[in-house]
Parts: sequence; C-alpha cells; structure tokens
Amino acid sequence: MTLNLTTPRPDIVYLRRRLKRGESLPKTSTSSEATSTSLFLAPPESENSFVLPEKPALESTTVLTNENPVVRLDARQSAIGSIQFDNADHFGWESGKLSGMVYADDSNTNNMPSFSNRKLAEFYKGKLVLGLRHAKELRRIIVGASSGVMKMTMPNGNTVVTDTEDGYKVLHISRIGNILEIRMEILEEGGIPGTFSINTNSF
Amino acid sequence: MTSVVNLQAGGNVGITANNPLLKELVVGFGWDTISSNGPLPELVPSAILTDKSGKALSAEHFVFFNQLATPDDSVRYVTGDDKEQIEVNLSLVPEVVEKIVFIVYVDPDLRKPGNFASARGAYIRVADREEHDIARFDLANYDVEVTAMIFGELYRYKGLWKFRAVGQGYKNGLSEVAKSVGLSI
Repeated sequence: MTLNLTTPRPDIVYLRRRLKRGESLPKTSTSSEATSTSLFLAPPESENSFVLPEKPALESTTVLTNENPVVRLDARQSAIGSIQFDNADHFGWESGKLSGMVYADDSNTNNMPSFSNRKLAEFYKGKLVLGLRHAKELRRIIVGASSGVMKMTMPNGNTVVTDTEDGYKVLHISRIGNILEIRMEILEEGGIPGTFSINTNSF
Repeated sequence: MTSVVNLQAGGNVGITANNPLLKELVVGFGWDTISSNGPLPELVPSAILTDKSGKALSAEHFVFFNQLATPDDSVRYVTGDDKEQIEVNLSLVPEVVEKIVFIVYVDPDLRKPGNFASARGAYIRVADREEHDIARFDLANYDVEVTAMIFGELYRYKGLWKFRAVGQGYKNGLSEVAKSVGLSI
C-alpha cells in the first residue's frame, strides 16, 4: 500500500501547504479511487472540510481562567509582527522538527533559530518577544513567570492575561496549522517555577 | 505573444483587452535587501480583494504567506520564481470584486523592523501562466521611510481587467493600508 504524502490537503488546515506554481488542487475522492490499493488521503465525499473545534477568539482584553483557559488567534494575528510578554522570565520552545531548549531571562540564547538577524524568541529590553513572521517553525513555546500576572500583548494592543489564583501557571502556545492557540496551564503540584523542561524525542 | 509593457507609477495596461481568454495570471514580486549585521527588514507581499467602495470583502480576502488563498481560490500564494508569487485566476474572482490590490509590507516586529530604506530593485510583474510577461513596474524612487507600499493593482474596467502600477507608500505600515480598506490587522 502506498502512502501518498505529497498531495496537498487544503481542506485540512494543518495539512495545508503552499502549492507550486501551476499545481492544481487535488480533486475529491471518488468511489473508484476509494477501492484502489493505495491509501488515498482525500476526504470522504460526505465531508469536504475539517473544522477545528470552536475556541474563543482574541478580544481587546482576554483573561484566561481555569474555566476559560484557551484563546485562539486567527491567521493574521498568528503571523504578523511580534508578541510581547510582560513579567515572563523563562520559556521553553520546541520546533516542528522536535528540537528545543529552555531559557531563563539571563540565559544565552545563541542556539535560538534566527531569521533576518532576529531570534525567533528572545528577551529584548527586559521583555520576552516572540517574532511571528517565522512562527511557523515552532511546534510550541511555553512561557512562564516566577511570580505575578503574566501579560501577553499583541501588535494591535490587545492583551491576554493570566489570573493569579490556584498557583503557578504558564502559557502554552501551540501551532495548529496556520494559527496559534494560547492555553493557560497550571504546573503540577510540586512544580517549581523556572525549572520546567520540555521532553522531546531529541533529548 | 505580446511584448512586456514597462510601467511608470500611475501607468496602466490592459490585461485581457488583447486576450479575452486569458484567465490565469502570475504576479511576481522581487527586491534585494542591503546586508547588515543588524536586524534586516522582512518584506512580505500580499493581496487584498476589494469591492466597488474600496473596502475589503472580508479578512479572509487578505492573502499572504499564512493565509494562502481566498475562500473562492481566485487568488493564491504559490511557490515559484521571483521572491514571491501570487496566482490570480480571473475566472474565479467574484463579480463583486473591483480591485485586487498588491501590497508589500515590512513585518512590524518590535525589534527594529526597518523600512524600505534597505530595499533595492523592487518590482512587480504580471505574466501569463507560460511566463510571458505582460506588464512590469520597477519601483525606482520611493520614500525610504515607508513600511508598506501598494505596488500595483488589477482592476475591472468596462468588463475587462487592467493592471495599474501604483507605488504608493505608507509610513505606518500594513495596519494603515489595512485600515484604508476597512480591515483591522
């Protein structure tokens, strides 16, 4: 059985890729193709699109709580400008190739991938900055603050803040296709602020 | 095969007047950036589809590297020659669309985003699918402080499509251009 890994799937957001010039979109599967010996990845005729479950969108000020811990950015918000994190003092990142690292605000971030002489994420003028132009390289980034409220500011001034109840929290920012999802998570009991790690296959 | 028309800012050329059957276009963008040890500006081509009033149809009708195609698939980011390319299928463009505006913006990163001062040799060209150039606009003179620029636009005129070289710069970047077409980015 042949696994077709090259045909783009524009109907599934997280499998969408840029077409080569002149390349056409794949056609929807037919009953005859469905009975072929190769694994055909086109959607069934009855379902033409995959839709992510609904999550709250960003508002001017979004407070993440235990009851509402997730906010999702749209495609524009996920790729234009940069995000600034107030009060963050450490972060861990993981690329799509499952390499990653954890940094504190006094760490040397020389191993961080750079694009146009800017690091993907770094502490800049006392704040953590995540550049969005190349955020597609990320699988996830986890941002923590040792104390206090963490505030995430978007280029247009919209903010996301964590509440301060129930202990130490981090913001887990994951990439889903072309959008970023921000989830507030509580460190498991006994977790020590500033000492979290990211387990990847490469470690 | 028609010869390429080299345009000046404000100039226009018919795209479908001589070839009414022409449906698929390639819009290519190019530039060079002066190298430096510091952060370099990241130029990003994009397209916005606007209606008769000059407003964008929707936020989904803004096409760039992270939103690869319009919902109707009439405008699509593709991988090809030039720095970046956008394909336009005129037969799929909704009737309500009057203009397809091509913008190149400097990504507004907080860390020294830069501007067009570091850019050289910027151009936009329109070609058919066989790579026969129809029109080309080399941006020779522009205000170096601009952080977004409308390079050109495809527009309807008496039932046909034309291309206009624009070269209009904005100092407040993509957000200013977007605001002018009713988008909040």
